[in-house]
This record gives sequence, structure tokens and C-alpha cells, in this order.
Amino acid sequence: MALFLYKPHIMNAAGQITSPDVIADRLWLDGRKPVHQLTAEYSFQVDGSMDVRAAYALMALGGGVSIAPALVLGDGRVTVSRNAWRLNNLEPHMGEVTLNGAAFPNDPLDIIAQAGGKGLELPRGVMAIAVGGSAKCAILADPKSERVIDHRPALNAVDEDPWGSDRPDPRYTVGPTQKEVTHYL
Amino acid sequence: MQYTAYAATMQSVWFSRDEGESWSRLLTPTGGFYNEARSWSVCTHPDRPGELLTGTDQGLYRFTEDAGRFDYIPSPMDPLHIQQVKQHPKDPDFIVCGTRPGEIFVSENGGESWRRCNLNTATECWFINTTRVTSVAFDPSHDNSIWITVEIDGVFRSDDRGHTWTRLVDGLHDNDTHDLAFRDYGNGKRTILCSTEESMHRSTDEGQSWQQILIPEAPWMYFRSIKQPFENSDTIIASVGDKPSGEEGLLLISDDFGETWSRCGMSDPANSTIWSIGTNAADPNLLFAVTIFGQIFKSTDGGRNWQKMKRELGEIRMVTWAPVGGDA
Repeated sequence: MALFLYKPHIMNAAGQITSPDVIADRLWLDGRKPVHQLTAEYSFQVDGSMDVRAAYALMALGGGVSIAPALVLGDGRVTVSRNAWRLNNLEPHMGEVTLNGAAFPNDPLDIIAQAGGKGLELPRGVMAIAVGGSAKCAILADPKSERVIDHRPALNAVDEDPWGSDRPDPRYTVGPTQKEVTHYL
Repeated sequence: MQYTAYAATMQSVWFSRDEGESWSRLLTPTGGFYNEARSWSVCTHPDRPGELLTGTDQGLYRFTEDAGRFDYIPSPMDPLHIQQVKQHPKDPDFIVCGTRPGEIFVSENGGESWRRCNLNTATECWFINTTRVTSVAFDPSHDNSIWITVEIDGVFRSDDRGHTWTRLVDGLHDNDTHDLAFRDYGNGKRTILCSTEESMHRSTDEGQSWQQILIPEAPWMYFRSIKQPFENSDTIIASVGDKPSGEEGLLLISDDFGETWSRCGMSDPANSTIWSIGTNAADPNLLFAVTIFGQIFKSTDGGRNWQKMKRELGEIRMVTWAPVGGDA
């Protein structure tokens, strides 16, 4: 079974953090999508012309759905921040919470419903993504608690080579022995 | 002086706030990261009292006393083992991390962004399959220079803050290198010591060549941690064991930067190789040392005598300490 192991650090309203590792095996992004499109990695190689959109990600969790900023790359990959909040902490003042300074592109409750959930609950294993406008970063801001999650993964052009002609060779070494050894090559 | 000692273990980071007598981890619900994460490295900085960086198998984390928890620092190293973390002595936002596979990642803005260095370490090693960085040292005299040791691939130096690297292995009897120590005498004269699996090595030409030092006081050849209680002093403590992880170990001290050595006094035999020695310039007489299999030793006389603490932990990879509270 394909899965994505999400390792969020979820800050509650009091500023405490809990770190549950949770498996996502269903991805909702304007419909069902392959879960292997999800990633929490920090650096990406992207086509220079690739559209990148700010988003937020909702993840089913026992203590309440988490919400984290995300980026949706033009090739379908979704990079989700490991820093997250709990949706039920935001729900009373949801209208004030912004993504890149603007109102949420979709009501999280609508996204939850579209992804098969109800109210503030998502089915186990489901991560749901709401996609906003073009951006190279996704900043989730809660003015009430004066908190921000800035999701800004490195996006490098696929033909960019920071090392160029200085790229080292793939070297082989034996280790701490002067003896003849059998190399498993 | 109030201080906290920190131990990086295979069950996250342990704290001692009572001079090493008792040790505890942060509470799982509020600690900020997995309590059984493997932590290989801990780093404090005098300009950031109450702050600790740790490298783990879950990513890089920053503990602060104010928050009372670890906060995750996004980096490209999440899938790697972050085995070394070091902050520049003059700039705590200049962070160098060494990983397994043997790579170096640099941040010059406190972890906001990272670059992977084009380090020409071996990408494959017959003996251990994958290389790993065993120490990171900022050059005490040249602000832009970084030195690292790699298991098993020798010594590397960068003179441009990690942009380019030179491999320095001429004369090493063994490229299984573990730690470095520097003694600058002025007038450009310098001696560097490097601990390896085949005893200590010395260089007087900036690592261009190395000479093996055979140490009769050491019953074994496997040298691991080397630390100066006083910065740039002739006194140096070295740990040596029978092998990695080993079943025996001891500490040696030299007051002439490696010319002659004597055994340190130890209250109890070490149960394995002493993997790490922790020092802090705030008190050169206070040191901690840990065996890889969980023993903790403390010295209050500059490393000449060591008392085993009653508490033992699991597998320990690094120890350090730092002043806290009003003494920081």
C-alpha cells in the first residue's frame, strides 16, 4: 500500500507542541490523487516554467485535524510543512487566518466535506489540500495568536547545477585496513 | 555556577540540571520531538544561553529554555543522519552540520536556509558502506576556515566557509579519523592533532602532512575524542578504547600538546570506548566524558581525575555542558 509518513510538529493554542507521526494513504486535491505526490522534503528541483501554488494541508488526526502550509508544484507534487496547527484551535476565528496575507482560498470545512469528512473531522489516513494562488512560499498567519508558519522550501531549477565543473567524482574507499580484502563490486 | 549538561543518545537528548547526578529527557507530550529519536550531536553557544542544537535522524532541532522544548528547524537533512552540529565561535547563526552519508551542510542565517557543500568524500566505503562526518571544527585562527574528519575518508579543510574543500590525508596511517585539536603558538606556528583508529597523528604544516604518534601509555590504538579544557592550551585530554564500540577505554592527558602523556585517574573502569568529551570555556576545570555504552564521567580538576556518575544512559554519542540562568 502506498503511504506518506507525515511527521508534523503541531503547536496548540497555548504554544505547546506535540509530534505525532501519522500515515496518510489517501490524498484529496480537487479529487483523489496518488498519495506518493505528498512530501515534506525541503528542497525541490522544478522546471523553470513550472507553476507553484500556495496551499494548506489538512490531515486527519485523533486530537483534531491539523492544518499546515503547503506548496503544490505544477507536476503534482505537494510539499507540506512539518510545522502545523490544530484546526479546532483556529475554527472560532477562522475568518481572520490568512494564507499569504489573503483569506483562505476555500473554507476548510468545505474541503473536509469534499474529502469525505464531516464538520471538523477527516477520515483516518486522509490528507486534504486546498490550493490558492501562485507563490513560491506559503505563509499561514493567525493574527489572534500572533503566530506564523512560513513554509519556504528551496525550489531550484532542474537544469541548475550549483557545482558545475567542480562536481566531485564518486570516490570509493576501502577503510581502516592494510590487508587485501574481497571487494563486493 | 549553574549549568546544564546535555547528552546526545540513541533515545534523544538527556538533560542534567544537578551537576550530572540525575538525567532526564523532556516529557514526550511537550518535548517537541520523538523521545526515541536517535540524537548524535549537541551544540551550545556562549552568545545563546539556554539554547541547544541537536542533530537527529528526524531532522535538526533547537531547544530553548524559554520554550522548554525542541523546535524543528526545516532543512534538507531530514532524511539523513545529522551526526555533527557546530556553531561558529563568533557567529552562532553560522551553523555547520555533518551527516551520514558524509556530507556537509552550511547555514549562515541560523538555519533559515542551507547549502550542501561539494565535499569530495568517498561515496562508498568497503568497510562501513557509507561514510560519515565524525567531527566539525572551526579554525581557531582563521574565521573562514572549517575542518572536518570523516569516517572513513580522512581530514578535509575549507578556507572559504565551506564553498571548496581540500582533502588532507598524506601520512595518515588510517583514514578512519575522529577528532581534531589545534595549538597556535604565534608567528604562524601551529600543531594540529588528529585522533584516528591507528593512534594519534600530528601535523605542523596545516594538515598537508601527518605523522603518526605512538603513545606507550595507551594500551590500544583506537583514539576517539580529543579536547583542550583551556582554549589553545598545551593541555589536552584524549580518549582511547580497545575498538568501536569496544569493551574497555580510558582517558589520557598531555600537558605538552601530545609530546608526552599520562593516564587520567578514573574512579571506575570504562565499559567501552569513551566516545565524547564535553568542555566549556566557562569553566575549564569542569568536563564530562561518556562511553558509547552509557557511562558518564565527570572531572572537576581540568580532566586529571574523573568520577563515574551513578546514572547510566543507553548508547551515548556526545556530551556537552553550558552555564544556565544567571551564570550564562
